[in-house]
Amino acid sequence: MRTMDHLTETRIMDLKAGRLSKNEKLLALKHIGECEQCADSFAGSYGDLELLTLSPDFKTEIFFEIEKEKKGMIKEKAAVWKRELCFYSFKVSIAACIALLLLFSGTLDYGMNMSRTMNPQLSGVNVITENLRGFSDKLIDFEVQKN
Amino acid sequence: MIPNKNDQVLEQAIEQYGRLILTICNSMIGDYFEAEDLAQDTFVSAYKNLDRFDGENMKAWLATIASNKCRDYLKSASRRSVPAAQEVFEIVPDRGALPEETVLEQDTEQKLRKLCETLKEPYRSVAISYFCHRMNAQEISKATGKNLKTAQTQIYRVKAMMRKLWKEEFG
Repeated sequence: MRTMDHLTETRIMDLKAGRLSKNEKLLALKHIGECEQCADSFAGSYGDLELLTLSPDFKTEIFFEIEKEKKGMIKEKAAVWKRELCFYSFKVSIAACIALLLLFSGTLDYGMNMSRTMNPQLSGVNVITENLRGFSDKLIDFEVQKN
Repeated sequence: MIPNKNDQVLEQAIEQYGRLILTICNSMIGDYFEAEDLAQDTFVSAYKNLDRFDGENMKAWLATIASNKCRDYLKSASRRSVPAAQEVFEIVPDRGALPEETVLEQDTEQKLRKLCETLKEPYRSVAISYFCHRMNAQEISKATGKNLKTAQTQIYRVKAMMRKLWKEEFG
């Protein structure tokens, strides 16, 4: 049986009565799960007399489950928000460290004719600063010669 | 808390189609307690996906969800080889005078009563009140003079025992 063939009335009755093999039953259920027309026929095949009575807590338990899921979703959202906040804080901290490093290494003092008030021993940074100075001096010289 | 629009829609759907969905699940699965879980899952899924509902045919829409739940359940677990409803017809000796549609419902109710009878007191009377007379914890507490918390705890235990017994007896 192809899943897109509509279920006949007999097929629906066979499904209800448990006269289908397991595979046929799964196929029929798959079709009903996809086809609203057959789902309507299937649901309509149940008469009032055969309907089971709901347990007294049936509805309460559904709403309890929904509330639980809602709370779970809120908690999940809070966890995501916390993670994002931590990541953001981490990025800001890194940026602040870099900014402080640049500030105290003297890189930003170049060309401002300012005396340094602090001279930390940042040899690695100093080497980079010196290299950058040398490079920019060369650029300035090149520009002067060109013009 | 004021119920929102979706809560109201769901409540109405349960009132209107709860019994139908439970019966569909029960006839497909053959286990009353698993069927109850699936039926409840159906309504939870419906609530979560209410925005996908076109507003046309709630009964058919719920039936599609229930069918998918039953299919997933049947696929995920290796169940009994004899289909539930077929077994029912084998158990019931004479169904000639009985309309076919009432057989399943009556059989499930009978099975529940039979299991209730196997329990010891005080659980037997709680089980009969809950499963046969469909009384909730408050009503049981009122009728028996028990503390509400005691009634709730006993119902909780009874449900767990009945679920286990059902599997042993009919599963």
